[in-house]
Amino acid sequence: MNAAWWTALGVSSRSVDDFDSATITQNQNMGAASNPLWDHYLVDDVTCVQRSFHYGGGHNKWDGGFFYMENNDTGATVDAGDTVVVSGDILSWNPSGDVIIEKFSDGKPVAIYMNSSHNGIEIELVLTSTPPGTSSYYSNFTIWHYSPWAWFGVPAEMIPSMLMQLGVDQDYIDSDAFDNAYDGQKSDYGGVATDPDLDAYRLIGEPIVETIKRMARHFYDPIYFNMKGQLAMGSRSRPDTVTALYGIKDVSWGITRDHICNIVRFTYGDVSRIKQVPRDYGPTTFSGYDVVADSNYDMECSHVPTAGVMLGSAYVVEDSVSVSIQEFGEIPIGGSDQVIVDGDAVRTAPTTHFPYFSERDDLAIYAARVDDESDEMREIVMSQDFRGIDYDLGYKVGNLQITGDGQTVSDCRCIEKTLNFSTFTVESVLLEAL
Amino acid sequence: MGLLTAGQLAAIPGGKFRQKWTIIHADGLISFVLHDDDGGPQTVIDPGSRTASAYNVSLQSPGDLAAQTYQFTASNASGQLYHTGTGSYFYDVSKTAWVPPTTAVVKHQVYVWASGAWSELPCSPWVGRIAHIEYDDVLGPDGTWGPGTATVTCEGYLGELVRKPWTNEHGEHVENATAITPSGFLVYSFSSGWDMDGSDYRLWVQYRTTVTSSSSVKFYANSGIWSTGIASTSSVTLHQMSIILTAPNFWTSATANGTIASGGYLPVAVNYPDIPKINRSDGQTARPWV
Repeated sequence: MNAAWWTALGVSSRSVDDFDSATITQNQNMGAASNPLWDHYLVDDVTCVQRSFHYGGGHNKWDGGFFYMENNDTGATVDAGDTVVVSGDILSWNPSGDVIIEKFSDGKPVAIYMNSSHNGIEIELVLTSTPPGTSSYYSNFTIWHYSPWAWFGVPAEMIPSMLMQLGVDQDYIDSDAFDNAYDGQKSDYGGVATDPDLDAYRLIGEPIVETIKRMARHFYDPIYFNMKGQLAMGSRSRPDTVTALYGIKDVSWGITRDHICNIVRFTYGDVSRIKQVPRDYGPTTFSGYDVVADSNYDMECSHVPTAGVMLGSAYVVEDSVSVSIQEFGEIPIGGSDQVIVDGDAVRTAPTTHFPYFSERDDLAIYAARVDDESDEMREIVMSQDFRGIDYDLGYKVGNLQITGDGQTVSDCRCIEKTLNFSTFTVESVLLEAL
Repeated sequence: MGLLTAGQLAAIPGGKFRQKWTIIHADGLISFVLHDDDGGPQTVIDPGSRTASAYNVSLQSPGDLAAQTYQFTASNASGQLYHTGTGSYFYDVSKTAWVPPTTAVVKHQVYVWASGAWSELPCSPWVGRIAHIEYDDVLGPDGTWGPGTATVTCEGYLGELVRKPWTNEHGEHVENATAITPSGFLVYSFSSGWDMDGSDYRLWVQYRTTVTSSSSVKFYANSGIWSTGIASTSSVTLHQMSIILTAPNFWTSATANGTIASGGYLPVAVNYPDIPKINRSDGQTARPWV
């Protein structure tokens, strides 16, 4: 994320051509058109974040956003006078068959169709050539998809995007920390070679902070309000680091088992990213108009069960650390009990659901994480003079020799700080990173 | 690399600190220094402490994500938390002049004296909303207020926001088209999936505009003007207006086009999923076409 990203997200703008940003947009250039009564077009390669119908998606519950068009003739500056804006909702769903969300109307410029087809979704845009009030034809369109309340990306970009869409000033967001976490999350993260992006959406009624936490939990970077009170995110893989510590007044430490986790079972996804592949199935008729499509598209939805729905071994990913299990016994993270069919065996085990992962490979993040957290850790409480504010939460504190036996603790992460403004002392809690 | 500069690291041991608290009211009219160690008012008697903690610490014990709560105590000798000297009171227990404390924020700044100047430390400025003020003023037998203290509890600036639940009012369709200059139109097309025959419906339209005259906003049905007017005329705000769609002037495939003729930003939303029917004479209800 760079300065332009922050500037653009401060105001969610139709003109932001940044598909990596957390605001989902996707465009399709229509190219030059002749002078038809209307054009029929199927949107190619749309990325919409939507809940699967089977898991609560449906009328007015999806956050898939809406489409609008832009006249490319106006260049980078959108001129509303030359722009058809489709301010419609693609969130409705009719399970009985094809659904036309917005009806094409004779003489009117735009309609959006959204058709259910088996388990898939097709989004079609139907354009007229002449909007009311103008005499010129639309010859060169860009179609935009805008989903202000659904996000695609890594948490380090989704969370600040969400806040800024809610009107939060960037002063209250630690942009440097999020930038650094973003770089870490977009690189090889937890052994995941590809970008482990999330597909996330708001839930009506859920506190915003819970949405933030659910996003963050899909990765293992800590999130916090820093010493300055800004929302910030640390980076496990690219931590800010201090190795020189000043003004130490007191150190105490102990071994904690509070963080041990040596087996995780998880399911993933209740969100679909629409990705379409070409399919040819001939002319389509809509409402008295014969439309010959240039092309048609079928859709691939990543579709996985969620808690409470049938789970088979194919859908439960399990990872464990046998040495740790031998030493401490099986310590799973929480979750609801699910039946796992494993060959001929059937067993019940606590299973955690990660709704925003849509790719099974993304769960490699958790395989790496359970490896990190399968052992006891040292937890260190350090008191310093006010030079203790030299490092914030999320920082890596290395080269600590506090055990009295000459050992060096090479990597601790700061998880708590208390600043006393009467005595100008700082107390930090550091958790050993293994 | 650490957050402190070399100069700050050298200055902190045995150094001189300066703390400053500023109170800023939401209306922007009241902003004053409550306390400044560098020669300003000396009202704060206990500067307090703040704790920050991380969430997502581990899979097993993820921790907490909460905006920091910060409490400090100020003297309140006059029964007023502070008097600006110009007649504006932040809070006066006599309520002769006051603003609600919880509509204000506190900015807390910390400096160290380094190389002949105040150097602001990286834990600063911290900004939080005032959540609560506890007064312990004493009303004397003569009916006058005696000296006391005011304990001010603040919450990190984003705390209130992030605790709020998502609602539809967050604007499912709202976009901030502030770069758009006047003269645009929005489109609303009714779905054939709604039984609208013989009924009247109310269409809610939201738009952001600087329009100050109701005559400058027009909504069209087909080629004719449907409705003229806006709900309010305040500047640069999100308006909501309703249009009553009366049968048989429209029917299943009618389309509304709202045009801002001049002076406005692009309309931002049409809240069409909920089209409440009104005044239906036959008592039937509208239904999705399934």
